[in-house]
Amino acid sequence: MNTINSFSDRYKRNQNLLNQNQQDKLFKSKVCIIGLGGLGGCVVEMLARIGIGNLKGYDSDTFDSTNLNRQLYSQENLLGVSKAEATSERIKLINSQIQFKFLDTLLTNKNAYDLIKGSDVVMDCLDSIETRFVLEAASKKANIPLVSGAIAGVSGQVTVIFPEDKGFELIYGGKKRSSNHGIEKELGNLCYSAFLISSIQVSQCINILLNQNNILRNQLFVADLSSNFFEIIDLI
Amino acid sequence: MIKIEIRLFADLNEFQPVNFENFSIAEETSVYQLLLDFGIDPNRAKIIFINGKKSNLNDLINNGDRVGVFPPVGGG
Repeated sequence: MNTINSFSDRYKRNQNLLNQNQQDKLFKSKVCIIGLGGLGGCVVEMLARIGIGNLKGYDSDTFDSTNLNRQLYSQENLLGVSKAEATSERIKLINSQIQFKFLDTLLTNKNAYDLIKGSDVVMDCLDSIETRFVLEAASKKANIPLVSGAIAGVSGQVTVIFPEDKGFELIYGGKKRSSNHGIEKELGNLCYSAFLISSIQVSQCINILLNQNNILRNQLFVADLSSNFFEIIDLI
Repeated sequence: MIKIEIRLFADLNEFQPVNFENFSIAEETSVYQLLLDFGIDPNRAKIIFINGKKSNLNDLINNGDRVGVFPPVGGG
């Protein structure tokens, strides 16, 4: 059985793309993931593998059989198990060198700020438009950039919201918005839209942590996989 | 008449015309009117973009414009 010899071996295949300073920066970074379902599971997996040193995440849900089509950490033997617990078990197996904490907790107006404070980036992997606005308000208050992903059917979108940005009102409208959910309630979601959009979220997170360009601030990456359509829309 | 590209996404895709890349509309048509002409309730349009820039229901469409419309997307 092979064992992990060193920190540098683990990230050897990163080294032509991330220099040592950048890898060290990621290891010192703290990322908070809200929602550990279709997007959140994939986001956590990638953040752990790329070497973010501190991960925390929250989801109050348990796995059911309708999650098996797309949620990375759902398994037939884990139906009824908390998503947070399953996420912890998975991360233990793939990167024991990082600090992590995943809790069976629902994000609310009251606890949102306390859950995310101290993070360098917050990842919005929620499935409710109203709760996205709650998370945005908390992220602004805590002065933390927010990377938001959303999917429906074979479509999806990603944006990045810094504390001074207008944010979700540019996408979902202001207080007059009509619905708490998008068309995913009618369409459902296929696994590849979750995996694609979570990948864009993670690349945006890394760009933010490493102070790189091409961050989707005031922009919306949209994808529709039924027509091979990808575009970045300027929101302002 | 003017020629535009019109892309309708997700559950709106069923309304997308076959010749969506070279679609004829009357001059001075707004996005709102275009959606009505397709039989789409304009309230279903959440993200409207013309030539890669966020636009509104009342914006008029010009010759050669690339128009896209998404319904609300909120799943995770």
